[in-house]
Amino acid sequence: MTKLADLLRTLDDRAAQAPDGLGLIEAAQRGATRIRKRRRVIRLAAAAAVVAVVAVGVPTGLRMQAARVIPAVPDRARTAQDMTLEVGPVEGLVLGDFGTSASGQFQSLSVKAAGAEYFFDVYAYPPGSPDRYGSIVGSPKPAMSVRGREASLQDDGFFQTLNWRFTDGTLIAVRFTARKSPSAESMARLPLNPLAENDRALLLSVAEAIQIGKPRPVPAPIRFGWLPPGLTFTGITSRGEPGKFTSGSYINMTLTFPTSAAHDKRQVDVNVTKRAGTKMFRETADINGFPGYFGHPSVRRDSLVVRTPTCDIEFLTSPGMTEAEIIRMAEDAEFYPCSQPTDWKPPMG
Amino acid sequence: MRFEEFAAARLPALMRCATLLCTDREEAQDLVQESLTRALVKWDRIVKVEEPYAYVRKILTNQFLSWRRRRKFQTVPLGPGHEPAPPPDPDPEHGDRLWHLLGDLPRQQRAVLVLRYYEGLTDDEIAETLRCRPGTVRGYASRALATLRIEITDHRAAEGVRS
Repeated sequence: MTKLADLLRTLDDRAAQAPDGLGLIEAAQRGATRIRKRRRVIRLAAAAAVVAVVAVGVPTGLRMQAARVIPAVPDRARTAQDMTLEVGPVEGLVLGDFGTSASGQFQSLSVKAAGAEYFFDVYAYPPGSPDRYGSIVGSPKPAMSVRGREASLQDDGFFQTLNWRFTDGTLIAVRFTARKSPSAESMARLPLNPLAENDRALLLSVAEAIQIGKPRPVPAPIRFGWLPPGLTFTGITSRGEPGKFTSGSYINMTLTFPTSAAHDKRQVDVNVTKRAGTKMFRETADINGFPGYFGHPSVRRDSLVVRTPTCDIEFLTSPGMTEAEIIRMAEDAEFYPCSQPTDWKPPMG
Repeated sequence: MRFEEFAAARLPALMRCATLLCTDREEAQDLVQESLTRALVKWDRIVKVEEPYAYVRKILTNQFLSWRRRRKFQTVPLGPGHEPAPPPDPDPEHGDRLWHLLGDLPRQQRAVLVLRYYEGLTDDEIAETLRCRPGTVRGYASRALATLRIEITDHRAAEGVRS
């Protein structure tokens, strides 16, 4: 049975039944006219509101700000490039992808036991972070205990997630993502509910191996120097076999401007891969002795790719940044051979 | 290129993509109309990119994903020009079932399948479209395919059909 062929045929057949869209272009033109008119009105209203706020609100706000105290949430001095999440000894443990940012950390891992392979994702959120798992709609949460701390097993219909808080308030979640039996040709990803007794025991043994240690910087094949004013390092994700850089490896670092909002993402992404696509890019002057390529892969973001002998380092710019700024940022960075992870350094500092 | 030229040339392709995403002809027309409206508002910018179609398809996909409003009632077109097309599936039972299973998938998973297997995008391109990571795209695809495969196998097994 060629299942994929069935899917392709179904898609083709149904696409062939698409309506002709008669009159849609004219309707879109009318809609666009309405939107433009509405925006003009909103701009005028906003301008009037700004004038009112400046005249009345700013002096009041300044007086109130002087008296406001923002509560600090300690996270054991961890920065956005540090990991504190650790997995203690578990028989058959293999660590996988991981990542860290100011708001959390994750670590993928697998455990070989009784001939099968079990896959887990572990998440750690700093003290004071909201209970992300209490609100998931699912089956009743069986109460469990992890190292004497009350924990709950959450079933969201796809995965079983065991979550609890350490005494300092750090929220930990261990998600059982897949099980690969010795005879299985492919991985059984879902559903894994209800958990078999031995699966549950393994989940608990992984959970009990989780600990929060001292901050340790995540090394990367690039160390940043000059950054545009306001741009700060906000996270790093590493995919692939830890301690190695292969064709499947991928490292992403994000640097964000403080004014960034969800609807207007102002951040620089730095991606390290074996080879990045530079089709339609133009060559720049050498950057730290390596060839550089500059292009416009999307409407709002430009891309500078530095081609080192062992990997490509892509700087995906934030909207509004100039080519000169991104080139200066790359020129001021230090690059280390991707093939030698032991030589890598923390990206900041 | 003027918007009208672009829209006239690409409307059929957008309609096909929208039909597969929505699995409903009426909703697909609404989706394309709204996407074209948004595209026209920012046409000055779109016309400067290398592939305006890819950009408008991105608008369409994101518009589809952001639609929280699901129709609770079937709409009945009253005007002329509405002709429901007959399904030309050579294996109607199986094709219909697969189509219904597709329609039951979560929207992100369905979007990934349509973009990957109908529009022929790579996982990186889909990730750029959906504003997520390629790994997430692969996750959606693998979950969607697993669901379809499991469901189909279950149906067939339930009906005693041999593959």
